Amino acid sequence: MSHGQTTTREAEWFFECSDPRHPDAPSGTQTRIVIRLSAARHILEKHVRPTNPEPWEDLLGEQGRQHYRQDPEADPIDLVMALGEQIQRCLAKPQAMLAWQSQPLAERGPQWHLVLPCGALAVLGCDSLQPQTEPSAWLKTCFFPQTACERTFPEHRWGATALDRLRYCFDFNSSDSLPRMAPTQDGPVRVGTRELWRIRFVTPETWWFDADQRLRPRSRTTWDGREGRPPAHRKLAPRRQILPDSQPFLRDV
Amino acid sequence: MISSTDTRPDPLGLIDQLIDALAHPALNPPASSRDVASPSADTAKAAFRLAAALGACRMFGAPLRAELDGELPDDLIDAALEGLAHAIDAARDDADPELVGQRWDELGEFPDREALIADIIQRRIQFQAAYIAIHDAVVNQWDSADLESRLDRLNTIADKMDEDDARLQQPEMMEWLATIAERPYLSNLRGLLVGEFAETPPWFLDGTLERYAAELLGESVAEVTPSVEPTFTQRLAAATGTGNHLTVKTKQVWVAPDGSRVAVVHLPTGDLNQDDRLRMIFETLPDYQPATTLVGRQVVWAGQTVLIEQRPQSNLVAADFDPQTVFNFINQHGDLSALTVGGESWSLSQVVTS
Repeated sequence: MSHGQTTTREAEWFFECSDPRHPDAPSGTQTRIVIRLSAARHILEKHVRPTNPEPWEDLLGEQGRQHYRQDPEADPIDLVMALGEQIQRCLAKPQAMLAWQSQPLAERGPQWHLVLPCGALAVLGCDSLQPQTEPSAWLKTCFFPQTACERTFPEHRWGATALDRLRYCFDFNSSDSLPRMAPTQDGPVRVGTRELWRIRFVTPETWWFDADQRLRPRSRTTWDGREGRPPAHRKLAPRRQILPDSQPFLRDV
Repeated sequence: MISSTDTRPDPLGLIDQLIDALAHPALNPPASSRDVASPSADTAKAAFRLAAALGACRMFGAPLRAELDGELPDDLIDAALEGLAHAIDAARDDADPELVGQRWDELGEFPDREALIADIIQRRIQFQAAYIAIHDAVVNQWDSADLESRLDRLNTIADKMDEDDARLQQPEMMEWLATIAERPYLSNLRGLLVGEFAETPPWFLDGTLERYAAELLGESVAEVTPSVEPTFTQRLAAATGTGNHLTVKTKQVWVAPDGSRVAVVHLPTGDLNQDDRLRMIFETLPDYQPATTLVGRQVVWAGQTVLIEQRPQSNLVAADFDPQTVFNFINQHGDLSALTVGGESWSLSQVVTS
């Protein structure tokens, strides 16, 4: 359930969600996620209203997006409710990537990266790594990465965004297993030129990877775990073999 | 089709992306002849995305099954060319440091500013990948009546990409792009490159951005790439003036005086081992069968004289050359166009450098 509330500072909306920081999530404690008016306005101005490839129609409907485009003063409540419901579904699985940032990003605190069922990426900030029942995480932004925008079918956007997060945040060279949420001491890891802090996938088995959580995406698993059938598609032309041997410089002829 | 039991690695999900692109409604059913000549904007965009998906599979070694291990269909080549050219034009603002800086500032402390830079890199990879797939389809249809016009369009696109790279490599843009080096994104992609793409990575994946970031931070890092020596193709391109837009490979094709046979040689991108040989293949026209009547004749090229042989094992008629001698010949003469077969001078008809 979600319910709105207005404070003297700015409007905020709270959503009861399973706390992904709890070791037993989603059956652990609940927490409250905050969506502030400033975040909703940011998402509207930078992602929903512009003429860009981001498919917000998937979430808001054609009319809903059109409404926001035409009326800059439109009440963000529809967007807030849609995002809140998506975040609740996401954390009910639960499915989250928790990132401990490096300097100079560390001052912004830990982040939660949630791949929403619609394929958008929601980034939340929080001020504690421990489960909390009080409001302790707030939506910072939400957008569709380019790879998700380019998928032909909306149900495949989720997987595209999940893989995008993986290659963006997780060092393939360090291991090919997804790091789990585990009660171990985290330490910095060196990636490229900077130190990054560890990234944890909350319940990796709820992502679309193999049961052993290796870096092997399962084909066409939808957000709710259904194995999608490959869509009907046209064929590529056969590779033309002008040169029967495609290796022009062989050692052993 | 791809099954969920397939355990081969495809950590970028490129096969699903390829299937998704192939299923786009704008490409199904195949275009009519009228649409091929003048593709709609939707078809051009979908064909470009298909080319990008296919090219990415080639660059990053996605384990394609036989039914997906193909080429762009002929009716989509022109649409893909148009879509790629349009996409490069549309992304022009991405390489304007002032505009990127403005967007960056507008995003303030919001984390989507990181995606701003990732999307610029992702688009550049797409351009490269689409070029590769279109190039392969064009040169392998080299008996097509559209070959010349398509090669011209490819060259124009390569020029656009060069211009795009020049803008991206301005110091102000490099500062924005280098921010992505904080993430493992670039090293992840670089680690997945295969074959000639791994040997000669594109500049945005060859460690340049990481080094730039390190310099900005005053840090020193180990070289990401082992060598900056010019590759065989780069030397060839410099010597022959064929350009070196993407450094994928160079193919030279000669035609016999009577037009009945061709000789083809592929010049590699990377260094060769001592025992490697450079192979020239002889085929008949128009059916591209082994030119068996040439077996036993002498062929003179790049300062070497060798015999044409039949290779039953690979069903080829071919002649092998020592690459080091070819290197030396390039350095001395700067030209590899002269070819003599059985005392006849064959004319160079194509040099395709990508």
